[in-house]
Amino acid sequence: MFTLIIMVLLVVVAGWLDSRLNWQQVGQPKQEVERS
Amino acid sequence: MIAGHFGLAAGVKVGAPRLPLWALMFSTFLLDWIFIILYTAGIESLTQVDPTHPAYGGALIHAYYTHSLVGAILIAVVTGWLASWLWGQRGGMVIAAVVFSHWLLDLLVHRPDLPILPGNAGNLPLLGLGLWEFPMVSAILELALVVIGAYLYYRSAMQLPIPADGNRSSQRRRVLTASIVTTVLLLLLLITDLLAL
Repeated sequence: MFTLIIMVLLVVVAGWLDSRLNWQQVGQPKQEVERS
Repeated sequence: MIAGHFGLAAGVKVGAPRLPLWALMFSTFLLDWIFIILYTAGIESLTQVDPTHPAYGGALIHAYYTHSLVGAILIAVVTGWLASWLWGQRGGMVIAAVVFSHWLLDLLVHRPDLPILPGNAGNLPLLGLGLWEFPMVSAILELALVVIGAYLYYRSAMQLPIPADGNRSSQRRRVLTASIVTTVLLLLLLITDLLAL
């Protein structure tokens, strides 16, 4: 049961923290990053 | 194997940074998410090699649909196709590969309990290389997947561009928070699995 809870936490909490990072700007030219 | 699947998903961020971590984490365990549903419905099941002493790596699964080779490929293809609507063709292919990676890692550690065809049609030989017979080796492999995956995630996140509306220190704080929480949860997952909690 503990294992299942931690799995859910990984998907939800780690996923949420990851979504706060600007991954969508990876690979964009620097000027576009600054404009966006 | 549980934590190893999630460690692999974290490491995939290196090659597919635009795919959200939640999608990679969800996909890497999709065969088992579906297994849990079918287990609850009484369609698939799980037994212990030693029923009196449940232990890490001591499970024999009877998951003749979700964990059959053909079933896993079908689930991976359908999931990849759905994911391609959200994240493009390449994103869909990565998600499909992550879904199928679950079966490959299970093949490595499971005792022979993975069928080739859904429903074990034709009673073909069950597959599984049985690394769980050597729990220490299996645990070290999982730990390696967790550590490497967490490190690759951290390294990729540290290389993110600084957003125009933020400053370097707030970006660094967010990266460290995400990396540390992810690593701690991965290690906790490995510990709870090792202790069969």
